[in-house]
Amino acid sequence: MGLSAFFVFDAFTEFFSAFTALAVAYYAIKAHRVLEDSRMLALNLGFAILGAGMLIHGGIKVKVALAVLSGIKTPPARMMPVVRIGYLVAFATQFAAYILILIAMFLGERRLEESLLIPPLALPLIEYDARTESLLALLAAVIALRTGLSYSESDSRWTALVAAGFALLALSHALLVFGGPRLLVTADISRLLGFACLLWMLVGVSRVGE
Amino acid sequence: MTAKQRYRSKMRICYDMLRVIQEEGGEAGPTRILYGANLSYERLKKYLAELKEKGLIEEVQMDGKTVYRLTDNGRMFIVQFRKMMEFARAFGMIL
Repeated sequence: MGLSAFFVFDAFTEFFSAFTALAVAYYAIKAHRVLEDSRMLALNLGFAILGAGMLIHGGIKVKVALAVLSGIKTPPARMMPVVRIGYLVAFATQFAAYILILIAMFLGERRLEESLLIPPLALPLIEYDARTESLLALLAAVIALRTGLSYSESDSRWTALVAAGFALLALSHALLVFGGPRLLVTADISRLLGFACLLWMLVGVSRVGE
Repeated sequence: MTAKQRYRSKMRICYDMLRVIQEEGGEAGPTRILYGANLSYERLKKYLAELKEKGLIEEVQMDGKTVYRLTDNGRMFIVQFRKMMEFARAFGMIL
């Protein structure tokens, strides 16, 4: 995969995930209105935060992609803190979102790299952190496990899709823990498939009774 | 009390009552609704009044007996509630 294609694909998966998360959040608030269940509100808040964080992260990735497409040889110094802050926002929102989703179900270090001699492909190196990713992997795995256990009781294919979705999200975080940024594309694909599972569930559920 | 034995929410009770009426062909007497939705007489009266007020059912007299008929809004509510119930179930939440 070419350098430009890599950055465009990375930004695309971020936006696809963001819009899917926001669609789930919208459905959760609709469910809250109909069911009058406070757990739906927590689910809405969780996915809304997740989507908003990914939109911000995606916006920064687009900025980076545009810079790469314009043919820069080295990223400008002012881009480094923006990239790091972008990841910080994405992590914080994902962490808060996973906690909120877990609540709904049961009831980083900022290191500024000043080097101007790194190639654009090195940007993910300063972005993804093994410690924060392992925390997100753990939380996503717990959500996947919890829904997986529910599936064994309910036998609902929609529950299976949510469990599969979060298992793929956990895998995408785990890939970044063990493989680092060199597995970013694989992690992106895993996350894309994870959100595709959630989207599939949403489309399926919206057709119930029709 | 386990997660599966949560108390029914007000909306769940309303849904159960509407479902009983639907299963009876769109019209049901109070006794059928009372047994079908597993309610006490006092709660039945309270929720029937609420469903009527929201336009989800209408009260009609048939052969001198009171019967409750499902309205179009009531049918739409059942469909919406089922969708949302499936959505909640997808996340392992039992209503």
